[in-house]
Amino acid sequence: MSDSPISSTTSALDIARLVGGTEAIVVRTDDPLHALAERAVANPSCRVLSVVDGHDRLVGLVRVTDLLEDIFLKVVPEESLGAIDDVEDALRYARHLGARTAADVMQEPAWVHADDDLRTVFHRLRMSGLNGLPVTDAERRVVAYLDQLELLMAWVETTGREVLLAPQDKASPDEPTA
Amino acid sequence: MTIEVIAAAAIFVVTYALIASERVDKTLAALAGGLAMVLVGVLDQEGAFAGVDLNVIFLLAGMMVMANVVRRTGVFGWMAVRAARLASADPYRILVVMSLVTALASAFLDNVTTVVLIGPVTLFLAAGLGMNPMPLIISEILASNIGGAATLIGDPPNILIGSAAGLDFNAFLIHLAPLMAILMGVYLVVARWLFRSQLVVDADRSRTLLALDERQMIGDPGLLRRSLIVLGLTLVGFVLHGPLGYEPATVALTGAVALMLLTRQDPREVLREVEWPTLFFFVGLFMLVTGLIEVGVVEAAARLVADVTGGALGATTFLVLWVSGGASAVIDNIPYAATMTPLVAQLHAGHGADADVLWWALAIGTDLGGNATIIGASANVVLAALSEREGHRISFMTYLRYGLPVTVGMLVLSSLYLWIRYPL
Repeated sequence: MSDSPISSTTSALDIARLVGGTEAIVVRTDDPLHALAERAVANPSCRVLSVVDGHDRLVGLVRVTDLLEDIFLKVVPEESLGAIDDVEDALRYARHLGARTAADVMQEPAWVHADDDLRTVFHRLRMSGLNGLPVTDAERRVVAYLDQLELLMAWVETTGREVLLAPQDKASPDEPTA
Repeated sequence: MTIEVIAAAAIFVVTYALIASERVDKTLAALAGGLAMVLVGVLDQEGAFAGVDLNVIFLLAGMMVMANVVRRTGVFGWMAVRAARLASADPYRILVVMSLVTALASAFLDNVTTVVLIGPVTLFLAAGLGMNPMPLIISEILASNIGGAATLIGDPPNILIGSAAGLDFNAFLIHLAPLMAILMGVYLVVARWLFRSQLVVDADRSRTLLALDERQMIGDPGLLRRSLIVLGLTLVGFVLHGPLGYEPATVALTGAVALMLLTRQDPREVLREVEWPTLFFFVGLFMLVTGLIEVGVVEAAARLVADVTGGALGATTFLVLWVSGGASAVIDNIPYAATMTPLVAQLHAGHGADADVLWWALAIGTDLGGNATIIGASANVVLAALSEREGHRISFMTYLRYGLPVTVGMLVLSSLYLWIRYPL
């Protein structure tokens, strides 16, 4: 086990400071999609963008994969149009086609509070199905970002569970090895 | 009036009200209504099941299977992009070609499948050209219902009418397709004036459209080739089914099975996508209407119509046409057609050999009435939803401003057509 200072009671904000280094990408609701893409390119390790209102409060999230989808279907339209074969596909396409700003593509916000402990952080990440979550203060302003993969790797090192990720030794103790 | 008549009429009215109000899923409402006819003793089970027209059910199922396979080929998207490129960046020409592609596809596929394939291409073209898609979307709604009315397989009411009246594919082609071609042509001329202030594009953006490559729309050329061969042969089968003595359902099912065999589709996957709720909706409606026929309500209604029109074929034809047009504008045209086919059969029986015009009046009114309002047909609702999702809402009243006068104009032209072509 490493000497990592992370434990199950460490707060979300401290975890973000300790494990990450990934800076939160915060955009406004009226920022155009290409601005979002530029911010994502400049900080590729942040996989979920935080959308805030005029008071800097978190109002939505944009996954980088959704952003890519939006850009993709506009620049390679034949690929997307050719794949549509039911009403749901068509409606999804129409929504993406009409998207121009962060507000058009954002989903409902999910977040962890700065004081939440590690267990809550894991729970929220799993429930959200997102690759990362913003950490917010009491006013729901974004103060940090927690990436799921970084967090998991830090936890693996902390608990010494690397062994569970290593290939299993298939040879049974009873069978002689060559 | 016997207790059975009252019960049957009450079940029918309640079921219709539930379907129209959408408070209960329409398939469940129709099945519940049909079963209620059995449970209260209006029909026995044998009679209820005998009322289900299997020719209609299997024709629909066969066409659904074929549509499910053909839509995966991307051929209609290819046609739409190809046509739009041929129209360059001229918005009126785009409106014309997209409407024609929609009408053509709707004549052979169900209207919802058609607009699902063509609507997104339309939205992309409009966005690429910087224009409001509303004129294109409204034109495609109208075109889908006009195209669907042209053939036996284009619209479910036509399938119901064809089966009940024994009218084959060629009869629809001969009697309805010419009228629909005329209506389409007239509409496209009128559309230029109707949307004169909205058919404006951003000229600098036309290269977006010209850069499209329609070949990319075809995902699997082999599937496309085989699908088109089977689809072509199925159409030949529809043309020949009358002379050969086959029912349309036999042709559709043969085409569906041949398509799955030749394209090596997994039947479980293809059949899973068959619209089973729609098929059971028809089953319920057939049982419901059989109950009405059984107790004599339909016959009494036919006598009432004959009294109103004095038994004159012309007056009866126009009454059927205009009442059907009005009713289909506000209620689902499938239950309407299911109810009206036995009524028109009664009226037809009283007029002799020349009375097929009554069937054409029913088909025209039922199919075109859906153009009047945004809720008049499923294809209308889907296209309006697509436009709204893309950011261009077409409200009920906005659509009505265009749809209602166009539909009234089409019914006037249809009346003229029937009056000139048939001995009324």
